[in-house]
Amino acid sequence: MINQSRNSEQLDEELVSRVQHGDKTAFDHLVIKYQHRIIQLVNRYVKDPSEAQDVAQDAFIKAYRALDGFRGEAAFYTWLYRIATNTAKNYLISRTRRHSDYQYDIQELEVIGNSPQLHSNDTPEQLLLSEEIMTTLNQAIEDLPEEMRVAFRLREIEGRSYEEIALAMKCPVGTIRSRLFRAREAIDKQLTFLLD
Amino acid sequence: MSEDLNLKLSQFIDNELEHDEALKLLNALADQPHLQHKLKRYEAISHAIKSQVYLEVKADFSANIAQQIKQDALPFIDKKQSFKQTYQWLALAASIAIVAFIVEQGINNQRFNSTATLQMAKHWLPKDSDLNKRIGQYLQDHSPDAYANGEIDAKPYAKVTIVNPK
Repeated sequence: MINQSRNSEQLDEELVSRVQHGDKTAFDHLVIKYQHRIIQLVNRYVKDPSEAQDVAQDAFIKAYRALDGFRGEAAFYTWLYRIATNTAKNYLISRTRRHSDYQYDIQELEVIGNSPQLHSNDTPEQLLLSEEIMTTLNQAIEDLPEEMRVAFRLREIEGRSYEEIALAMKCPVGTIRSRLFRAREAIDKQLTFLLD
Repeated sequence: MSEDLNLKLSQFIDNELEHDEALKLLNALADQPHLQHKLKRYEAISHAIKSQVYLEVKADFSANIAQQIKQDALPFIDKKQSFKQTYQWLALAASIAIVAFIVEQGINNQRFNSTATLQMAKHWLPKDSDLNKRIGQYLQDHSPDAYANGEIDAKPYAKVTIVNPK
């Protein structure tokens, strides 16, 4: 059985060590691994997917520049998370100084970070597209064969490991692996039709 | 081949890939933009299920970061190299200082010997002789040693020259 978090941490440790010894490609790997999570995190603060991506880029660059000081006391992702949070907050503060309609104080920023998205800076067209994407996505999940849909929900919503899902569904881990992959492919196919 | 990689992507986002396989996949991702696109799509789907918000990473996200850090000097490696360079300069400066010290000591010794010779000569010559007075004046004018009442009051010292690497 693969211990998911330990596996991930080991990979991070190796990549960080490589970066610290001069391998910039290893940092690319870390970016690819965590880009989505960091953008999601930053988006909780800035409420704009496009700006969130720019701020997330800044966060990664700051992390790279601070990496020589990283001694592994915390897990790499925990450390990166803190940098991203601080970068997002600083961005909001500087945005406040530029635009009077955004007024945040430090305590508000903490609340914003922890709450679901209540506001959006999307245009009406973007909101419409988002709705359409979500409708397509939800429909694509409903259209999945039952065993794929169950496995997919156990994984994505309940966060179960492959082994746990295999136990729950009384089938081998390999079967679960295959079902999840095929579920993603089927949903991706529907979204490609809409987005690409 | 592509389906095999896509299957690995699916495992990767679930943290279900072994360490070595994950590393191989990351290496493959670096060279295959379509694979990166697939990963971003899977991640967007995964996030959307939980949050009901679809958010896909821009195509050039990691490339922009790579571009920025490419321009950065490697902070840790350059610090090490800078230390090595500084160390080399210090070593050079110390070597020059030692050589200067040795040379200076040699010169001082010669001067001291000259002084001693002249002192002896002065001692042998009658005190009121013109030559004696001239030797005394010479010693006073040219010796680095302090004189008190025409007599030597030697305080040995070393002059050390430090070379500033700047």
